[in-house]
Amino acid sequence: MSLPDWFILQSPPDLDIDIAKWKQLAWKRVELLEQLPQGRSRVVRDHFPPTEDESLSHNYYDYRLGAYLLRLIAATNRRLEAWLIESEGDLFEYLYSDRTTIDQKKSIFRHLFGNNNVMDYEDFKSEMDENNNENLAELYHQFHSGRGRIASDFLICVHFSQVPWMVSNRRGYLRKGWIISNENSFRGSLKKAFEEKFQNDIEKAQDLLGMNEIIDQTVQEIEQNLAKHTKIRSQFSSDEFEGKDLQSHPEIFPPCMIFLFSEFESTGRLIHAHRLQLGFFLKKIGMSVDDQLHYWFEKSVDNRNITYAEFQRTSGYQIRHLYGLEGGKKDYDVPKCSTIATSYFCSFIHLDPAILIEFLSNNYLTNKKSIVPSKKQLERIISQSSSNPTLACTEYFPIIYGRTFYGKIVHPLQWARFASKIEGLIVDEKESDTASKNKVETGQ
Amino acid sequence: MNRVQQRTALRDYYSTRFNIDELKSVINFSKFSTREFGFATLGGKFFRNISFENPQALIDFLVDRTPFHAYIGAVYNESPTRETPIHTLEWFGHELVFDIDLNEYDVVRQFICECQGADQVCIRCWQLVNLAVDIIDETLRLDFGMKEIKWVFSGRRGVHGWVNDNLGFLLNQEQRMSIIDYLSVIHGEAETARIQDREKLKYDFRNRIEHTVFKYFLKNVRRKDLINLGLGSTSATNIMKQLEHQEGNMDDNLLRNINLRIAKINKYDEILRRWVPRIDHKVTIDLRRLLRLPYSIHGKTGKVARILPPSDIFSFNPDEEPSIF
Repeated sequence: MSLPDWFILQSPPDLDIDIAKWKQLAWKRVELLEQLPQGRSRVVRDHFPPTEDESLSHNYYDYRLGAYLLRLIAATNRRLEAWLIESEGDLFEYLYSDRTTIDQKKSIFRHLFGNNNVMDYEDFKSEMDENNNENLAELYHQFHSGRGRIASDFLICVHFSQVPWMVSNRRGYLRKGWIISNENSFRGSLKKAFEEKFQNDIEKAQDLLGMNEIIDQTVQEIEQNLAKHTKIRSQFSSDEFEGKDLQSHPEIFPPCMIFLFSEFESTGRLIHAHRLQLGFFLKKIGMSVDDQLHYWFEKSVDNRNITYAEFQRTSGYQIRHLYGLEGGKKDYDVPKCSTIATSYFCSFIHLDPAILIEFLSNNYLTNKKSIVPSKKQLERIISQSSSNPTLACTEYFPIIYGRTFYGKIVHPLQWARFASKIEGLIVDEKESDTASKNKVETGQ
Repeated sequence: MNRVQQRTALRDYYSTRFNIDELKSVINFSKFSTREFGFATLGGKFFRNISFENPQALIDFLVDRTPFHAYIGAVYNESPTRETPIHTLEWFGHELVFDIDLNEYDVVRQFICECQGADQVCIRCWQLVNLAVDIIDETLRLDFGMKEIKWVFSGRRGVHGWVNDNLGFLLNQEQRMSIIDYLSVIHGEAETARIQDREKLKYDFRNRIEHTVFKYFLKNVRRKDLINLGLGSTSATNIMKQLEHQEGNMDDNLLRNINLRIAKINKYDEILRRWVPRIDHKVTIDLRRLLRLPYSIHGKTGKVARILPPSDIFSFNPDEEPSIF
């Protein structure tokens, strides 16, 4: 049994290649991944035809080389890492379902879950002395007599430690530490395993940097080009994110900002450092300086006995300072999470556990629906909030938005950007261009 | 007993009766020097980030300092100390632990016994703990394939299940959480908690839960419980007579008969809600948590947190446990 040629998580390719060609292959891979949202079937049909043609394996080798260089680049850039993991995960999912034989699927299972964590159904029965297990017999009967069964589906056993989601949701039959189910039901866990392994490989790739000057230069050059690449930047950048009028959408605020925002809305007071933190954030999500001046003037309880003109002269100076219009005229950025942890306000660090639970349970605003995290979810987050606040924040994200955040949230604008995307408040620039172009072409 | 006498009793226990070999059957000793310990003093001060070179150093500490409570935590890449606290270290492993405490059952204990308040415990409500041990132990062995499971009296109102398999030691938080999810039959722990759709409980586990809960329910049921559930007084009297007649050895016919009557009044879920295991999730999923050191003394009760041998685990009565105070 061997892995399919398209599978990128194989042993590293021979890196003794022409650098110019390698760069080309990396860009080719980027283009391929960028085409996925527009039509997965076209990408699979054009680039991964279903034939046994020998020459194709050379193409696949080139794809893997390109993918490998991107992995090295992702090791130096967190926002690229997030984009790459999600895109490669999607491509893996498509190719796995459309271009993989049963033997290859079994190889992928063993590769991603570990050889010792996967067993064929028949091997499980004999090795675990389960030949007389009636439940197992019933499972076998149900599987083979099922009307909608796909010919390429099969029964397989995976150790429970590799598929916690299936254990939590009681998918499959759990017996002696093994989940027994049909291959199709493992697909979600398989994609997750692929993405986790891919992320580990990206982390390991860091070790290769600094060994070879030419490779380092190439990585740096492509990284800089990719950082400017519109599509990737607009999808996944954090520090370059600048929203438009998102201040009226608190549903995209990270927990630290929503807490300060709610606190200020209800009390009209914030200490200086917290005002700065919220002010920087409101600026970056698109609030104009005039809007911020009015906002602080109207909401702050300290301004009740002064006129707007007086406010402009006093507190207004600080607000204009945020925008680089006073003093050193520097356009300040929102502080990153590590700075917030020590000098500003992080809800996971600075709130008492009881207040944090209350806040995370009830105070979150979202447009989608009323989100009420379960006690278990909250306990898990609380247990790591003080020792690892960024992880707690990262794990809180999917509870609110139902989408996993790959990598760690290390900057408040990372949260805001991804949340805005999910809530449909920002549109990908290229997609927007394509959409308007299509409208023109179709005469709309 | 005053504080001086309590300290003397603790010193006497740790110097003469505390047997480190018994601890080895519960705890993984392979990386003893990088294991975290924590202690609470008689005056209520709490210390953690403490480690010991070897087991003898731990014993010397217990004898010398006579802590009121002794706790054990996870293993790290280096020895935890005040200068290198655990949040600066890399987590290496922790036994998989389940905490069954009657605190978790406070909302349903009123249906089982007459105990009131957090400090009370009786042999009737202890049946809730027995049932949880029964189901969790069997599920861990048969469904999860775990073998080295020991149940340890917490010293007060519950037990801790310690799984010392190599696999359990290395499980991450997500994997531990999945086991808790699998074992949880009720959504939430409050009075209004709802039982999961039983059809979603798979195969052996569903049978195990239903059969075991019903067995414990009938062993401990009182006439007034049946009436409270909605059975008529004649029907309740008849069931009680049948149960008394069989002296606790219920045959399948009797079970089926009673089952039908309970099914008629549609109170099956209510019985499950009162009896199913309630695990303190935090203890299982928190990888850095400190837990009472097996064979140490519970400072409030003076009772030993000893291993309950499988042979008499279900006849254990916490009220009969001797106190060193």
